[in-house]
Amino acid sequence: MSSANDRPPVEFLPAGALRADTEAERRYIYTRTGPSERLRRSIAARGIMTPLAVAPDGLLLCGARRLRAAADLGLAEVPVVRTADAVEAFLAGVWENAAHREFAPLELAGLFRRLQLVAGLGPDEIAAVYLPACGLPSSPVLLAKYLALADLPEEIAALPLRPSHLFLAAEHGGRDAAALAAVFAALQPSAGEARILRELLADAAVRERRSIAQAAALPEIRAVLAADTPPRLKVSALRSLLRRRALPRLSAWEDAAREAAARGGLAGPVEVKLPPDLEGDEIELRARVRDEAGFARAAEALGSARARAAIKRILAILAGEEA
Amino acid sequence: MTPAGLVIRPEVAGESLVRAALAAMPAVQARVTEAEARAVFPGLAPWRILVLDRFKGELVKPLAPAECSLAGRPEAFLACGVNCPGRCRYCFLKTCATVPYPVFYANVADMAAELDAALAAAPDLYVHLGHILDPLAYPFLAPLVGAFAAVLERHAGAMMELRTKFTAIDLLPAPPPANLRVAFSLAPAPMARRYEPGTPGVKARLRALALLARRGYRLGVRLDPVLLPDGWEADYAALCADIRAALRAAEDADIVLGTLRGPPALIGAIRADDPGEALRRGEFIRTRDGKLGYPRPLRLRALRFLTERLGTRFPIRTCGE
Repeated sequence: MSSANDRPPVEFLPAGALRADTEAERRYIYTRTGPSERLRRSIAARGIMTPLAVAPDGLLLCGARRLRAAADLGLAEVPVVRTADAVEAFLAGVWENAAHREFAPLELAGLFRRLQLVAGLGPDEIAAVYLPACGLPSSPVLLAKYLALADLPEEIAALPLRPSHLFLAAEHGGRDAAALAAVFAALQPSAGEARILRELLADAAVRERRSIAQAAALPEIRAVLAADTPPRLKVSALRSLLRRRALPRLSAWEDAAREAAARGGLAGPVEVKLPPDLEGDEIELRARVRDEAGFARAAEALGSARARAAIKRILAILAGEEA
Repeated sequence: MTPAGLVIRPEVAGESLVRAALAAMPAVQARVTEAEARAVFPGLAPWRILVLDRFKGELVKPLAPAECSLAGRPEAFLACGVNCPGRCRYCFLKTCATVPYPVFYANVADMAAELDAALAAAPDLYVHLGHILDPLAYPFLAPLVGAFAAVLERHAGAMMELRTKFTAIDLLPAPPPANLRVAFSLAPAPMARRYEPGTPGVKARLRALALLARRGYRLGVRLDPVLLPDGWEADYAALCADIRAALRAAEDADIVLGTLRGPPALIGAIRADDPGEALRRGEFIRTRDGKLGYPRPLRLRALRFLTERLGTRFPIRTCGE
């Protein structure tokens, strides 16, 4: 093990002399966000206090955000140490970053993938050591989820997605993941809504022998996404549209039950609430009453022969007698 | 069914079941090795390999509550191996078996001893042999079935159900043990041809069922999973008529019905893998137990349809409903 005295000397180089090319970013750099305001202020006040790590040829190994802040602030020179052991420098950078900052999910995904590719670590070691170092539970299953994020198409990183959206999209490959991410970015659904939309879209796609990407590109779905309405209304519209495509027969039974209720006068003062997905043998009858006259209207509606016929029909639908 | 490659683990090389297997299949390629089976026979599809391994305990496993169909009676399955050479497209083992090839345990005496102890502790246990494997898939498994049947004979209150799609019924112990029920898993012939490759045809299964009825075995018919593509009624009506005919000579039989259901990952996998339309175009919703299944009105209609056509001569139970 090297002691502090063995460390290479600190050099001062022009910021522009450091190479942080695409290849380097792919291999070593996992940070996607720029320098924080706190880091920027610190560097503006005192300069870069921890030298950047570079390979002998000037390739940046560690310190991408510090370098960006220095460039933004117009610093003439930055402190660097040259290291011949790129892997050691990379791992030191990982621990340094993990100690003082919160990573976004895609950054963690990049970090864990690079621990495999650059440092040659196996999943067991990454799960046991580096997940806890980043504040996550030591779980191989969780590591697999993050590694799936690392395989998402590059363009997804630029979309406004919540972590739940990313993880859901990452359960699918390439174009399907990109299509799901585009839907989530357009609608900003909650985690639960996103999961339902994903399931319905996948169901509709498999029924119609399409990929998720092909299903998401259908004109009627694109029309919903492009509509000039608030996202929550788009979520509702898309959910309804996809449900009809994925569950046409169930939707038809639900329509028949609602139609029977309307014909039976049970769509006004008294309403029929069907069990979700018709998965039950009871219906709920709701009366909205504001005054005595309203109560009389509800009682009359409920007591009518056509209401009884409607309820009989709806219960028959639930029991599969009309399926 | 004869495997193309037999992997024998060294620990069981001397077991009588292994000797019986080698004697029954003199031409099969056999290797005694600890190596991973697919590495031993890299050119073979997994279902053409058979591994004979050592049973290491935990033979009798409780059946998941959702899969039980006998009210008030404990049910368990025997884990004396896993997988079978059949390649049913809807098989739940697709997403939960840890290996892709059939594995059977060969130290029969150890398993029989554990079964004996389990039945002593739970005298009315109903054990399923055929839940995660097919006990009639390979002819040399007769000693295994016989050993379990012999244990059952010492526990009059217990019952063993041997569930199969295979028709090697001469492997069954004779005369018919009182607490052995032989249950055939059936589906309409067009569906079986498409979704149950590698298994005997439905006509052969029905012939075996009829023969066992005449020989006096207690029988079972398992329509599980019931598949419900468009136009399922005609296929299932024909099957029900054939079942009634096959059971004509039976004195004791029961029937279990269960529509296709499963965890989302399984249903997703079998739909995506469907070479036809029946499973892919099916409508599946999340049922109360969290599994995906057909919508309730369709399930109820199918169960009513089947019970009406199967008649009232034998009890009919549902499973997973």
